[in-house]
Amino acid sequence: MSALFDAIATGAHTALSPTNLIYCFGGVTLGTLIGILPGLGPIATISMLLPVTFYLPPETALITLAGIYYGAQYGGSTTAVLVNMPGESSSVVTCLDGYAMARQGKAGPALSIAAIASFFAGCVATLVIASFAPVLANFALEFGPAEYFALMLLGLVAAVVLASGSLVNAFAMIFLGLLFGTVGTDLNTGVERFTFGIPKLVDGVDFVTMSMGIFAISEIVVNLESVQERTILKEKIGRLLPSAEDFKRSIWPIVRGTGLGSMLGILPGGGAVLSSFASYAVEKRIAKEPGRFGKGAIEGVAGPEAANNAGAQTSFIPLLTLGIPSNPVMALMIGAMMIQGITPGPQIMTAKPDLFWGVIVSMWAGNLMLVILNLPMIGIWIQLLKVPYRLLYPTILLLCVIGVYSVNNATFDLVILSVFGVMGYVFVKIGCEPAPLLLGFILGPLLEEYFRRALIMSHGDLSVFVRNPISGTIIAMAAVLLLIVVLPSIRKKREEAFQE
Amino acid sequence: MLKRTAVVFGALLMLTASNAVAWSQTKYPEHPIKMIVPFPPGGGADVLARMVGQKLNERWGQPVVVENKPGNAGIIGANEVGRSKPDGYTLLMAASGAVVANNIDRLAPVALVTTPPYMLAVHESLPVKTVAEFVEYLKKNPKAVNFASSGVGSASHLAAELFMGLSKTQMTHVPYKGIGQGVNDLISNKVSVMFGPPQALLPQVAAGRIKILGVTSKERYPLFAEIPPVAESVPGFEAVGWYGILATAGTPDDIVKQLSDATNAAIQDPTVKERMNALGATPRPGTPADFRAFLKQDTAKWAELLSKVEATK
Repeated sequence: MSALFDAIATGAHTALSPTNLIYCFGGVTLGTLIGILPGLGPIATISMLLPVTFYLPPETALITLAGIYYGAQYGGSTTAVLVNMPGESSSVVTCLDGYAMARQGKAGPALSIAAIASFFAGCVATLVIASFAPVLANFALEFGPAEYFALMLLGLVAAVVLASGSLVNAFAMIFLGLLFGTVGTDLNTGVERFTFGIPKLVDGVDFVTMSMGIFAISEIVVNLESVQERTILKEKIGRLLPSAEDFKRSIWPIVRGTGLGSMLGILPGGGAVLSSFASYAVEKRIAKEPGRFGKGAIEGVAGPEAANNAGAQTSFIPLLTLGIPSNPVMALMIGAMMIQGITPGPQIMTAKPDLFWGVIVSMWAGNLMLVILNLPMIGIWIQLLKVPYRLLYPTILLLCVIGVYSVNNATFDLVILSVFGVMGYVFVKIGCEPAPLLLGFILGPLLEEYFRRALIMSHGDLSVFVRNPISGTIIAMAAVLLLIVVLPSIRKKREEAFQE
Repeated sequence: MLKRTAVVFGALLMLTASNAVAWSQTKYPEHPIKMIVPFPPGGGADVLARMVGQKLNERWGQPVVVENKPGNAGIIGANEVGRSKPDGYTLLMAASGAVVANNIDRLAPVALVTTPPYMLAVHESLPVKTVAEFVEYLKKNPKAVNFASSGVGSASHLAAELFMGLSKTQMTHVPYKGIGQGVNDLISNKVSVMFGPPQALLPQVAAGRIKILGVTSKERYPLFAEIPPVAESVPGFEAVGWYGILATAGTPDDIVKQLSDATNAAIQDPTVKERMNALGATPRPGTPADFRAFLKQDTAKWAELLSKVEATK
């Protein structure tokens, strides 16, 4: 234990030096800002700033970049709650109940609970990294393709739970998402699928572009149709802080979300996005009145917000302990280290303790700054709702376009954005929720990848999925969950039929 | 009055004259240069582009703006340079894979930057210590050993195919999305073999999870002189990656020469050299003609191998 304290003291020495504190503050402020702006995400921002880090000491560079990443998780929820647009892909689920709360005049409590949940999760995740990083990294190594496949399957089944409307619609949206996920080059054979000979589709459809189109663009179009509805929202802003009742409802979702996020964050692929979806599904499943979800349940904001922040931070574990990136942002961090002449790998922790512990301690400092930065700002953000839509919407549209363009510097992505904008509008009109589609889109390709890899390694033996204890258990859980979800609705349908 | 007019005319004449001199020498560069990296930021090509770009900027006083245009294994970015104006203001920092038979004629080789070797790594539990023992082991256990690659047709895949072809052995191919994922499964022994770049593999050797059996260069690589080349046991084996700068085909020769000279100077700068070493590479200076010849040979070699692999499927 004292070794841990010594290590943290080493880290504090680095992280709390005036220069590093200033850069950390700059990082989290910038992160909050790009989190709020739809479309402009941490990937685009960090890649733009990468050349600048060339001139900074390695610790300072990593502290700044890390600050941008977890700062964006804070900021992303603001746009989700206020205008129903995910500022970040990981805040897609926050739209569901956060925006519903805002419509009921509870934008303040929604934003506060999001900031508080993120802060709690950030602190716990920092502690988790400090005490268990090596153990957790080895745990992640235990996960082979069969285990990942089982996990993705569970996630997909949980996606059905996300939907608040008809089950058939939810399944339809998931399958549509799976279909979009197949666009691009097949990993195992190199064959192009559904690319129609367009070179820009060879790498598949970009997630940021797709979610911006489906959420942001369609939201603008839908709101242009119904101007009156929005004026009601303008007058009812309500109070800023959550009530005692809100707190009571949120405590356990925050704790559970933090736990889920810390676990899922270390696994490659999903990270923050997957953990927020998972947390929402869990909260809705165990809630006494699941009907409240999608209609402004504060648990549906608190849990996922805690989960995405915890996941964002623990995704540093594979990077710092093994030198392996678990998501594209971490791959950029590796780039930042290589620019500095540091080779990422298992030796970092022992060879560069001030870098390793400095980054960890800076995360805690950064989270504190974020909560101080965000809570008083809520009053100001809410004023945004008073901005006339004729000004707000063109601004948001412009930012979306800039954000999407900046990911690959490609105009073709704007065409894709428009296509998904139209599609999102149609979904709203026919009453289909887009969240399951996005989850299908994220998980589908991973599901296929791990399924086929597991089969290559087992030389075609399908029993590998159930023989293995971890994957067997997870698949059993998925099956049970599917039964729980499907059975009542079948029963209900039969009852309805009998009544007729 | 007349006198003053004469002075003005004289001055004007001198100006035009000096302009003409500048024109004939092609004053290059007179505005910022764009260097396209056809991969996402943070990778080897990106780091090299920024290092070389900075040196070109110091030399000419014109900024070199690095722009990442990833997609389709680098081909999208390379094609864009192929379509640009041939004026030397749009450059490509290419790596193996981005330049293919389809776009090679639209690009003008400027300078090869480096040809880093790959390494043959196996999980530490595999009971072999040398390449020769490894080949023997594979012959005893055909198709039982899995190798990781960063995708179908990637350098890590092709190196393994070449190895199997020359050593008459068989392994099962497990493709991944990127080197990192492959290394992850290699250190946890989900796959046992991988041909990968040194900077991704060497740290894991220090941690005792994997062993390096050989380098893929024809001879010992100066930076890793203690590691024998795979070719010592598998004659004819050579599979190096490459990084190099290309311009659009049709760029005037004197501009290509200026760029080539500046790049050669940049990569031999001590600070650049040191950072390159950290990436597992040493500079490989040369003329545009050298680079052209290298590219021709390299693309032909892999195209032939790929068609052989396709044929056996």
